[in-house]
Amino acid sequence: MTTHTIHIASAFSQTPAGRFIADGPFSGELFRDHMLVPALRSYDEVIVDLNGVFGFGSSFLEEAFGGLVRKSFFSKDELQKKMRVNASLKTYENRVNKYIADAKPEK
Amino acid sequence: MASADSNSTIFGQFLPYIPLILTILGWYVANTATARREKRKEVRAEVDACCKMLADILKNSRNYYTKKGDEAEAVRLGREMVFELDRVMQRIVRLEESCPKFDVSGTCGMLHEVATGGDFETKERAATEHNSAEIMRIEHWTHKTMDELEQGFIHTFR
Repeated sequence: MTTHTIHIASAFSQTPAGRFIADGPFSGELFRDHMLVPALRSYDEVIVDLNGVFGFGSSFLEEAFGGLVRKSFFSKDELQKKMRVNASLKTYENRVNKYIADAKPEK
Repeated sequence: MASADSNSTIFGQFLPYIPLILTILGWYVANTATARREKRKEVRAEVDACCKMLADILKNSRNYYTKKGDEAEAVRLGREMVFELDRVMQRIVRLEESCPKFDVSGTCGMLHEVATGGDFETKERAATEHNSAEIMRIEHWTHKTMDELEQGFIHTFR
């Protein structure tokens, strides 16, 4: 079983911001499409480490994680099996889980 | 008669130690009261600091949402909101760890959600009025977070 850890602060940005790629250089959409989806497709398990970032906007988190289900990249069950979020601030972890649980695939 | 004599002998043996025992007891009571007073002062200062940060977040949120998403000032305010929300959430978690009667994280998480969710930090976001639903929701959850901080303080030290 292969495991990969994405430490957002070092691999992406310490100041991720914005929902869509048009909103800035470190948006949730960019993170999802260029880092999260390829990692989830390449490894059996992906750990996303949220520590070390100077705060997240909910819009970033929703687009990056809820967007995985909304844009039909993965199902909720697949994400439950493949992805783990690690955050010292449990609020972020809870929100990510909620965004995934609330997301509905777009038609 | 023999028993009464033996009791008075035992009492007599302890008599010289009573001032020492009372001193230790007094020291313990005074020390506990001082420690509690100090902790109360520290927690009060922390609650006040969190409330001030929350008031600043609300002020920045009002300014942020009354500006269009692509304005430079809105970008600056948005970053400040995210940073301050992260700091205040961390302080609240530490407060909850040191005083288990505080239960504020969930409410503060809701404030984080309403303040930075939806079209937050998107360029298409339109400016809203001061009495818009977005700003009213942020006000509501800011008040609720402040109230729960005060409640936590009251429950910890009453």
